[in-house]
Amino acid sequence: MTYLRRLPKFEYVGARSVREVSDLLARRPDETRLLAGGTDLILQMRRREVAPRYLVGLKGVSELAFVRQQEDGGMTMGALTTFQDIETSPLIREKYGILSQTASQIGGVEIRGVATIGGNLMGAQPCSDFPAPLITLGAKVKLVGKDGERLVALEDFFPEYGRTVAAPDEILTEILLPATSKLSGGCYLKFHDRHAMDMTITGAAAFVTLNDDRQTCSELKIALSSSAPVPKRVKKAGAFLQGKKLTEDALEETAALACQEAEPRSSWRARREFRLELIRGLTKRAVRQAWEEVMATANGGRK
Amino acid sequence: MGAKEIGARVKRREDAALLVGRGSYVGDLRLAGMLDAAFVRSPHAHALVRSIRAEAARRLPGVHAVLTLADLPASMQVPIPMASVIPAAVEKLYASEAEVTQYCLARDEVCYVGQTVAVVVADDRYVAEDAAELVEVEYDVLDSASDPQGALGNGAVLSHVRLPSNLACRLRLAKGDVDAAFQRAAHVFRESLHTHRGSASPMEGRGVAAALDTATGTLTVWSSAQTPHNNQRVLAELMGGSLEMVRVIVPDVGGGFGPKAICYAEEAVVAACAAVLARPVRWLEDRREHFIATTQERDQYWEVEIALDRDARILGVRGRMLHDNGAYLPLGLITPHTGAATMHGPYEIANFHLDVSVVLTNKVPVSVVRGAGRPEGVFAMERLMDRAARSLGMDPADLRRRNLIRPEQMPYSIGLVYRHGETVTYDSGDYPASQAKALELAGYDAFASRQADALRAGRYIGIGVANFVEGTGLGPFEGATVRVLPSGKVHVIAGCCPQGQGHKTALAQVCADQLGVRLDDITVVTGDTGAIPMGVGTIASRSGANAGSAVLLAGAEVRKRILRLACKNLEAREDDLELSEGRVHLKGDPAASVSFSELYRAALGGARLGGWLSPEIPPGLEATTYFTPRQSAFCNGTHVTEVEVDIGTGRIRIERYVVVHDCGRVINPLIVEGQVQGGVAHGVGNALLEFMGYDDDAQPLTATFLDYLLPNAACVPRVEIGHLESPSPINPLGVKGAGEGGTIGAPAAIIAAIENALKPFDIAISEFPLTPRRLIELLSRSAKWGALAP
Amino acid sequence: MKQLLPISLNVNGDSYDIAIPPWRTLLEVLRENLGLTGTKKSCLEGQCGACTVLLDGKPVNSCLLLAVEAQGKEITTIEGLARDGVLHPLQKAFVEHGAIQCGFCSPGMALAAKALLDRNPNPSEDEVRHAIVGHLCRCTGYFQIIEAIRDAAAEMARKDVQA
Repeated sequence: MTYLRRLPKFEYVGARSVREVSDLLARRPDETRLLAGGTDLILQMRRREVAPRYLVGLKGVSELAFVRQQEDGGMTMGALTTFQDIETSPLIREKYGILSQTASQIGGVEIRGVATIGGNLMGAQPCSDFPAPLITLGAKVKLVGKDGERLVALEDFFPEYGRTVAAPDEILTEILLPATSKLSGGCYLKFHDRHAMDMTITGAAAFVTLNDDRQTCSELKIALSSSAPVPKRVKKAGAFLQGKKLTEDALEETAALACQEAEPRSSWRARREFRLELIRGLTKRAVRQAWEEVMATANGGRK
Repeated sequence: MGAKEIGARVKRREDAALLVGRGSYVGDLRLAGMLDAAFVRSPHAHALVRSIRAEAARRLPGVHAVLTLADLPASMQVPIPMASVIPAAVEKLYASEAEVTQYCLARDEVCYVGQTVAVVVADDRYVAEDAAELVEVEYDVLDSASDPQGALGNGAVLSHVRLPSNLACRLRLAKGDVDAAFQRAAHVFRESLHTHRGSASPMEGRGVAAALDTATGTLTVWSSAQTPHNNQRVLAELMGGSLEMVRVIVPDVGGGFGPKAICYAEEAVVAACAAVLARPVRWLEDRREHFIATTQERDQYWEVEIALDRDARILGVRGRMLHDNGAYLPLGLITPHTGAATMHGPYEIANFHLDVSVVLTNKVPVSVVRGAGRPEGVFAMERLMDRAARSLGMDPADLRRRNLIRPEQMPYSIGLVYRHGETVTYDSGDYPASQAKALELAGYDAFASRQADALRAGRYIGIGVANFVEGTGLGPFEGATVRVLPSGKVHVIAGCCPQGQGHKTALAQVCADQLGVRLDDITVVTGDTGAIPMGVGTIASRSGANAGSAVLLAGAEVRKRILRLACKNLEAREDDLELSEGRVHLKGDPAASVSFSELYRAALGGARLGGWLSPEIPPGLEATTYFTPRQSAFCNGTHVTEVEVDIGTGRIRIERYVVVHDCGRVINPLIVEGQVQGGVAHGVGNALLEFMGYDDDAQPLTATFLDYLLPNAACVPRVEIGHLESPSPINPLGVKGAGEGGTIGAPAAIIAAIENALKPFDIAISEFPLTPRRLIELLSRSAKWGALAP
Repeated sequence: MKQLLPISLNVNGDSYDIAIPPWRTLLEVLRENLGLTGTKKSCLEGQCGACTVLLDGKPVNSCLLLAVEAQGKEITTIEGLARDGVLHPLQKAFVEHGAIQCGFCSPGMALAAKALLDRNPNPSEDEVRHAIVGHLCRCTGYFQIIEAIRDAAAEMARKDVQA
């Protein structure tokens, strides 16, 4: 294709409720696409990568735009929560700072104001930034379809490149996060060539929970962006630090394991070797920063 | 008359309209009955066109025409003429210009992805795009030449089926006895360099609208262009008409940066469509088209060496440069030639020899992009200087200082014969003062200790210096009309064609000082072949020097006429009169004055019929003057920049950026500083980000702003600017160009700073852009990196 | 396929009732249906910011937004920034600082700046840089724009104190 075309023709329905979306989707699941922020879908349509016959606009489905604390101390947010909401929500900033930090690193103000968490996850792009930090938090997504609803761990949500386990008639309605310990903290670091607004070459998320001794690791989860065909949790790397103190050698080993588990590919954008170098470096930095954050907050910080 | 406005920090008069949404760019034009065009373009880098079937497209409701080459007027079924002349001294390896220039629509061969094959004209752009999709083109896909170095080997894939080889031209710039100089040298250093291709990427792409006046047969073309008179000439030729039948108007332009200086296939085809259909037709380039169909620049490979004596003075420079011009030569050899001649720079070099080979590949053709070959030439010279300094254990600034041409040597002929057979002669400038001032502003002397401190803390900071000399004020001429209006206000028409440089403000300043009128009482028109018959346009940092001087001369002539009439009116001698606020005053007598408006009536022989004028005095208060410079006015400058490198990720941060710039007399510091700051931003892009990638089949890889990274607000530093003003003797204003110096020195300075920051790893950097991935690749080859990597 | 949808848009305080196909973006409708050409079209991919308008005061890329989805919002384009012919302090500051060259990015840049100052009346240089990071400018090198925005903030604060 040699130029960027105008949008293909489609029929538009502006939905008001999840029920309505569900009905519309169930009618012609293969010909229908859901339009949330549009920052990905509109581009795909211009490039004619997709040309849905029916477009269901979600902007009016107010029941999908929320951020709520759960009784168990966890949190849930609707699929239409924008990156800007995530960046600025006091609740998210306090309890899940890694997500606010992630949001602030994506796009510019214009993109963050409309791009949604649901759209980001349903796009299933390995270079998307949110899956990795959400996986380290143990996030689950709620899918609602014609046969009811189900919860899927985000870690299991991306079976292969560009796909999710959601059935054609299912809508991702919300993202659920478990409660976090006071002795936990996270960090997402990504690398891109320019200082903003460009594709993530590689990203590393780390979420660490310390033991009560405040010196050793109780649990560490690490997940990577743009390091495999799907957002990738590197379990061995995370497990290695369990019970250990944070030392340079331990960090080095953790990062080495992350590199072993990752499956980055070479493209004109970045060769595999460079991505591995970044995975090693970013993993170390992310784990160290996450750890330092726990120490800072545990010693009279904001939690 | 004093210079009240020239030199003043005058606010731009263009801005208010642009800021309230009343700018009028080609895309904003509304012409009754206007149709939209879309082009069918080649998806292949190299192919033969077997057939084009347009029936289905023509049948689509709303489609007015689908044209292929055969459907164009016969006069247009030829290649677009080259926009510049290739000097006679150049060795050409092709048989005729037609082999290296492009047809408006493909004849039988396409040589790059994006080349125009057919055009669709429809009610609106939607329909035109839909119809373009329905045009069926049958191609025989051929192998393509992507890598310019590989393109010269034995048995290399040919980029054009009709050419005997991919080598289009060879040229040589030489003086002295360079081999003898190298034989007696105490030191010889060699560099192998690569500068990569980038795009101009103005925020407004190209655009053109054309309308035929069926009563007169005159075609009016609105174009987002830099050289309207050139476009007029080319369009008239291709339309088979005479020059006066085409008028080109350039409205507001959303940035140019070089590539809008040539007349493209799309402009000619849109003009032809408007004539054939007798309806206004418009085409607006989209961003992807800009990446595949607008000319690009900077792909060069340099193999160069420098010879120094025992005191580190340059004895000679020699080498060769391979220039990839993409698929055609639309602008001749302007870019490689300019780059080669700019390499010499501000240094005394007695012996010089550079052989340039120009190669054709199956990529977007090359014209000029801000700097026009100069960033590459400066990079080559400055890399050699840094390489020599490092090897000799010398301070790179000191090595440069020893070799700078001194001000007392001006004017200084560097002895190289340039494009049109003239010898390059620097007209004025104080190069040692430029470097000294830049080093001082940047705190260069204190840097070494800061660098050592940083290194102890595990931080890698570095500093880089680059000098340049730039030929500006390109000929052959520019013209201006200055006209007192009946109201007493003043109208200026100039042949230049701004794309955001603020000419309307700068030219008004020049005129205001001549005539003593307020800036608010001056209107300026540019970029309209109907308003001034001869003009060149705005390229090559030439408008301040040439159009500015033309306004100065025309203004002086009008001033003379005003004074002559005022002498009569006020019964005074010229010496006793002064011009201000649109009136002529008798000095010392506030009551005695006459307005321009009254003088205007007198200049017509009175306000009513029956008056008489002296036959020797032309009527009216206006003059049209053309300024013809005898040679370029050479500006110069020094860039000093400080960077910090994150050796874990390859991320580079520019911490400080200093430019000392000498563009002669400054007309408006606000404008010049904006040019320098913006020029550096472009250079930052070239140095660190902008990579126009093609794969091995010459398919473009980076045809969106997501993949081709322009510098944004997070990565361009504040530029600390120092002005030097060495007036140019070449033009009456004493000005030199200021539009490109910010870009020209930047890649060399930034790369030098990065290399300096990475001294502990002992790596050499010989390319730009230097992306993080490339930097990590280079670092990972250093034996010292593994142990130090964070 | 249903071709025309009646929609109602509120732009710069004026209400427009038009019928458009659903696949038209707000950018196209502003420029082509309403003749508001101050909003510029450049990349069509949300990468350059030239088409930025304010939607209920928040900056959005109008090339990525269907016009039908802009209903019920207050849309501000560059034509609506100056009030009664009086330039907004940001517009004045842009002129003062030489923050405009070709002017093609300026409308989007000025609106993004307005949104920034509305939510953060005293931004640091870094905050300004990040607020306009989605806006490409090829001419100015950004610094004069950043200075202009900060200067406008100071000017507006002075006026607030006086008022």
